Amino acid sequence: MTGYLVRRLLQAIPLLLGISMLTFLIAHLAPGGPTDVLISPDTDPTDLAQIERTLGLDRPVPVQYAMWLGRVVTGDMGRSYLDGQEVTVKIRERLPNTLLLSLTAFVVAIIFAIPIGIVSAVRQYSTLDHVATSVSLVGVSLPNFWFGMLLLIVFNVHLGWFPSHGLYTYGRVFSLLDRVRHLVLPVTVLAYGGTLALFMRHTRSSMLEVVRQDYVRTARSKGLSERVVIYRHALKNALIPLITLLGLSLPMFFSGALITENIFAIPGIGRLVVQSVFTRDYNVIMGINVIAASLVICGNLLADLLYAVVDPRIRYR
Amino acid sequence: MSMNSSHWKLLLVAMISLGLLVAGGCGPADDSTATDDVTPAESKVLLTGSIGDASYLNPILTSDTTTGTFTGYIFEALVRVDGQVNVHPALATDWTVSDDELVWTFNLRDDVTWHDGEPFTSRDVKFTYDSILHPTYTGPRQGNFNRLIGASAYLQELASITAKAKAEEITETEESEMKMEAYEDWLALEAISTPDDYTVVFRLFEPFAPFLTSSTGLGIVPEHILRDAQGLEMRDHDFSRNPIGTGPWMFNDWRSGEYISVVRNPNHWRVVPQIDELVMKIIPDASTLEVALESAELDVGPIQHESYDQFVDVPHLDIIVHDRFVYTYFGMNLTHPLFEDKTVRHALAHAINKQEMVDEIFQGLALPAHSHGAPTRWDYNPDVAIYDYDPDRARELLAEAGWVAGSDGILEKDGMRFSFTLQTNQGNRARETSAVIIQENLSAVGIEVHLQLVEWSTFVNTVLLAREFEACIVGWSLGVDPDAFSIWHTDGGAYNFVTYSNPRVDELIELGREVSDQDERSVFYAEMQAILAEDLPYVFLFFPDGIQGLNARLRTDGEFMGSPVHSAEMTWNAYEWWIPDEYREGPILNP
Repeated sequence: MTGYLVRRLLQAIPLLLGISMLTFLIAHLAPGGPTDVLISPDTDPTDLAQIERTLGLDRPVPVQYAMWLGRVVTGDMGRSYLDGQEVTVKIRERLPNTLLLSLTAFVVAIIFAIPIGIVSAVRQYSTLDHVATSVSLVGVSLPNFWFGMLLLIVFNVHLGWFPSHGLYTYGRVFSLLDRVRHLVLPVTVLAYGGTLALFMRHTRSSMLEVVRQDYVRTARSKGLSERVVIYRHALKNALIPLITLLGLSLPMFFSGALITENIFAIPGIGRLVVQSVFTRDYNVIMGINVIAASLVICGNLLADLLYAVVDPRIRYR
Repeated sequence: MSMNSSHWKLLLVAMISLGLLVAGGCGPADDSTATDDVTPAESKVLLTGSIGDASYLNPILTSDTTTGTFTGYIFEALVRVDGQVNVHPALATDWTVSDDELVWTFNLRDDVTWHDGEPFTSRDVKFTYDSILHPTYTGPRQGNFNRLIGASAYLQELASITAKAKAEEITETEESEMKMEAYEDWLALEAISTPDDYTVVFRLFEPFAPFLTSSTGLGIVPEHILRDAQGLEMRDHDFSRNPIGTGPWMFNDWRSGEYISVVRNPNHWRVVPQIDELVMKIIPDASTLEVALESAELDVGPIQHESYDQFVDVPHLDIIVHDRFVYTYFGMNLTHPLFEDKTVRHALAHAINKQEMVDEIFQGLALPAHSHGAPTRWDYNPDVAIYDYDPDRARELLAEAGWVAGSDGILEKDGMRFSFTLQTNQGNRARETSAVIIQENLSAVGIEVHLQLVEWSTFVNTVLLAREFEACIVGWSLGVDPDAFSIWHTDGGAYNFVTYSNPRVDELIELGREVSDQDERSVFYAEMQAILAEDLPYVFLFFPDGIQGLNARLRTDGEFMGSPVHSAEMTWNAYEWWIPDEYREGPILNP
């Protein structure tokens, strides 16, 4: 097991190098550069060339990559070209917001998805099943920006129940209630418009498969109550495939939810990614990419390891 | 096969603790500065909204709007411009220009202090302008100072040193040494001198009328803080995120992507704001920003044209419509055989329905444009050639120019089809819609237009500046000074990307730079605008108005007025606003 873990982690190094090299290349291949934001009729492009010289942006891309890599291995991700803030600070400021939003949405989605999934599997083709399936389908089909705006108009403008933007009220001392009020709408969009349906459908189909297994019939024939059969014997096994899904969802928690972050003005990673790409803020693009890539690699590894924990038939050597 | 139930519990506990960690770890502990020190519950806070965030809060390093809003609050220049573009003294009490227009002498106020208590002197002014010419300066302002004596030659020398370094004739160390030497030599010329603590003298090598507003309108930064930080060090200095100025508002707090806050400067020499704190919330989605105005979570914010009708009757909002020095145009690549003929360009102007754009895109809150300039700027000439929407006249002119309908209905001449690609940047709704209207308009007179939307950075670099386009829709945001050398002069360079050249226009632009008297200059600019309307290098499309929503709790002794030249647009003079005591809590829903 330890040997396997070490091997996987060693494999990750060339993988990360490759990913960073490719991202760096692609980012620099796109036309323009960080000095584009300075373009105006008052600014001569030859002045901009001078700035690029000072910033080292006029060097060949491989040289720039080597310089970047040299800094990164010492833990220095550089500064944003856009506002001079250190990339690590930028990510550290925003990651908690993104995690708060995505994990809360995830937990909310799970809380609703699993019971609904079970019920609609156990009572397959009942009215309840049909309603649950259609409601979740509607959720996935709604575009997030539209659904978000709809929620804002109803619950912010007309009812005045929830605030429209941000994660807390400016200038107010910390209050849990205030935080929760700010989270309700974005979490609803993220959970109902995304993961809920996914997890509900997965629980349902995996449950349907499990209840037809021999050991479930055995359990029933032993005379166990339906409740015990479903919740003790069937459910646990039905949830195994969900762990794969959890592992695969991990990177999603960190990459942020661009549209939701945008609508509700939540300063998260998703907004940062898009802004850095549009402004060619290379250091930020690279910083987020390296961190995201590392997380994907860790997420996959974690999912594989969890398998071994959950399923005794799987052993790693 | 079944999983031990303790594993599930473990997983659950892990997930919950992770969630708590995240919930507890973010935000509240960090923003204690904002909540504790400066914002006592009884203070009056003005809440504004902006789509974009600021960059470097240092006026000499930046030129973008959101940053300009805040550097405008925090910093002051030698002169200031009001909402009607009149120039007033600010840090300077008065100034004189020599008869040859080459020597500008500014007398400075002696009663101004920086926000940290240090006195303001001529050293700060000299330092600010010298920094802009430093070899490793990273901002966009050099163009306003290359008329200082020796500056132009010095900047050329920098470029040639860079070229040598790139060709590897000299090492990078030699490169920076040589550049610093050149800079020292330039400083020795004393283009900017300070005879005493409250006098600054600028010497130019040729008359340059835009100097007054473009150059001395730039915010002054404190020498005592930035003294040892030039170039990259100035850029990365803590000052860029914690600026110290002399303005009526003092910097308070900034969380990227979230908000920026300034507080009143109780010791300002001219005007002390009556509102305690001004906070700009960063809300990237324009519709959410409108929602926040409607639900009284913001005091001031921009309203999109398409939402105007819906907002005009909201009882707790005052809607202010103001002009901006911005116009949008349909630019033609004048080196392209399709657009070489002036008659054809006149025909296109007759074929394009500007009024439809004004009505469809801006709900009537825009003016059709007919030439370069802004209707409320002093140089504007209303009496230029106007091309009414008249497709029949367009067809006549095209026929006159030798274009006849081909077999597929598209005009042809000498084997060439009148078909071209029109490019604009993606995400700008007004430009995208204009492009569609132009496509329809031109198709009605037998011209085929293909539309192409390009991401902004790519559009600027590989389309406009590379001059790789047939036609484009772009806009210009104009400054206080009407000088338009970079856009229309034959030697204008990169921004004359339509490749326009007219010797008379060149001459008029040069004349306009030589005298500083506004009345004399406006004669030159009036003629320039008339020629441009006749030559039609662009089909000038429209000047969109700015629209702002203001919460009904706000008061001012004058009237609320958006400014066309201040980045802050509405809140540029918020130091004159006040909030009645009964509304101190926040924006109101029921006035």
